Amino acid sequence: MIKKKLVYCALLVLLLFFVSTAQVYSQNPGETEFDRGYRQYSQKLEDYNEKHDAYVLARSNYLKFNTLQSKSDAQAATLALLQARDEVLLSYLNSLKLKLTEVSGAENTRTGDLYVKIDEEISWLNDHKNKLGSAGTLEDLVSDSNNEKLRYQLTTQSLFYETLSNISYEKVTSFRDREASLLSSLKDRFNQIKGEGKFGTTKLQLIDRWLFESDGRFQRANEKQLEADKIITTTIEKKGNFASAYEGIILTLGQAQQYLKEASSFMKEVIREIKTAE
Amino acid sequence: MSQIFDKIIAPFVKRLNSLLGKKTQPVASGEVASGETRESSEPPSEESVGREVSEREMKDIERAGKGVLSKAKPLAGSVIKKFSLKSLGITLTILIFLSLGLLAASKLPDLLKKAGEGQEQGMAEPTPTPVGYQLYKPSVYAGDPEILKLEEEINIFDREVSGAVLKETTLNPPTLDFNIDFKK
Repeated sequence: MIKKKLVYCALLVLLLFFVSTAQVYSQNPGETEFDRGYRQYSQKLEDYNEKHDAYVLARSNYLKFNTLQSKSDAQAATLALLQARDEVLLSYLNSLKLKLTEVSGAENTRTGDLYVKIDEEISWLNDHKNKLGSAGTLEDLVSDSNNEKLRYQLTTQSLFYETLSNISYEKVTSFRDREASLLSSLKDRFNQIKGEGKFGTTKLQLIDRWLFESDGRFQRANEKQLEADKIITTTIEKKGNFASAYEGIILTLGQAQQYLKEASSFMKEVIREIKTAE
Repeated sequence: MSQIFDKIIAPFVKRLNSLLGKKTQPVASGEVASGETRESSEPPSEESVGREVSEREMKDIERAGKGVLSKAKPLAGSVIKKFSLKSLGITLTILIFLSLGLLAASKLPDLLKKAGEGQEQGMAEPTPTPVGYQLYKPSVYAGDPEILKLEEEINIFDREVSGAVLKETTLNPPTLDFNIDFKK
């Protein structure tokens, strides 16, 4: 009798254990807002792919059998697909916004305008998603999908690439600002060393030369970044498609990055010369 | 020759008879007598007729075979003699020349290589001028804290700017299906 009771208790405990455990997502302490947002986007994309497969199957059944039941199933699958699609677009825009915040830090004029555009797009997508549930027929759903398709081709896709371009631009801006600060500090220190008169003329001229070259590279990096900025501004003004301008922007910013790398290597040479005796 | 003939032709005839369903059986003396008596009063049995036919056929075939063999033997001998001397000589000569040619072809690339190397060895290769070891002499500013701090910051910055990837490859726009329709 006691044994039976013990067995029942053990079974009950096991049952409670399995029932009470809920799915818990592990969170890394070092995980940023962007990481969380990106993870959510990945999950939504996975869900969309599953809904898309179900839609394809329902669509083919409907086209094959053309019964009321197959039409009803196709309508349900299409609704689920369109809602999942909106979720993907919303989570992707959210990820872009978080990444831009992470890279640019403080909001400036450029990023400020971009946030407004992203928020407008998010608002439109939310309205569209909420409206889908009220569609009465399959034809209504197809019409809603086509509206979204038009908006995507004219506005949404371009906004994606504009945001991506600005993310890359802000990265280069961050490097440029840091290098400007380092170069200024190095020039100040060198001017102090020059005044102390502990180095000969040849040595001082050599270090001057390295600083001059470093400054030259830094200026070139600035020019390249301005060039990229011009492309971005022109595309916005002309309401052009950022998808086609994106690669050109990345190429120009890559050249700016290369000049910044050269400038920093010349600064390392200046330090080496200062640390080495004549 | 008749022995060879018996060995080759006889089995063939036996086989042929077995296919035709005729049995070859040895004839005993007693049976012959009875067979003769039988012949006069009754028609001959199939077996005895078959036996006479097969013996006749065998004799014909034997005669024909002997004739062919007598003609073929000297002819074959002459052909063999001709083949063995002339063609053998030609074949051997061709084989010798072929093997010499193949040997030469296999050795040719090596010979050319050696000739080329010989030419190259004649040219002098440039040698780098050795640089004397220069002892590092620290300046008065080698331990300057401000310089050391700047050096560390520049090194960190250099690593970061060299390793930075401008294009966000993980954030490429998603590929979505916008062609929703129910037309066949």
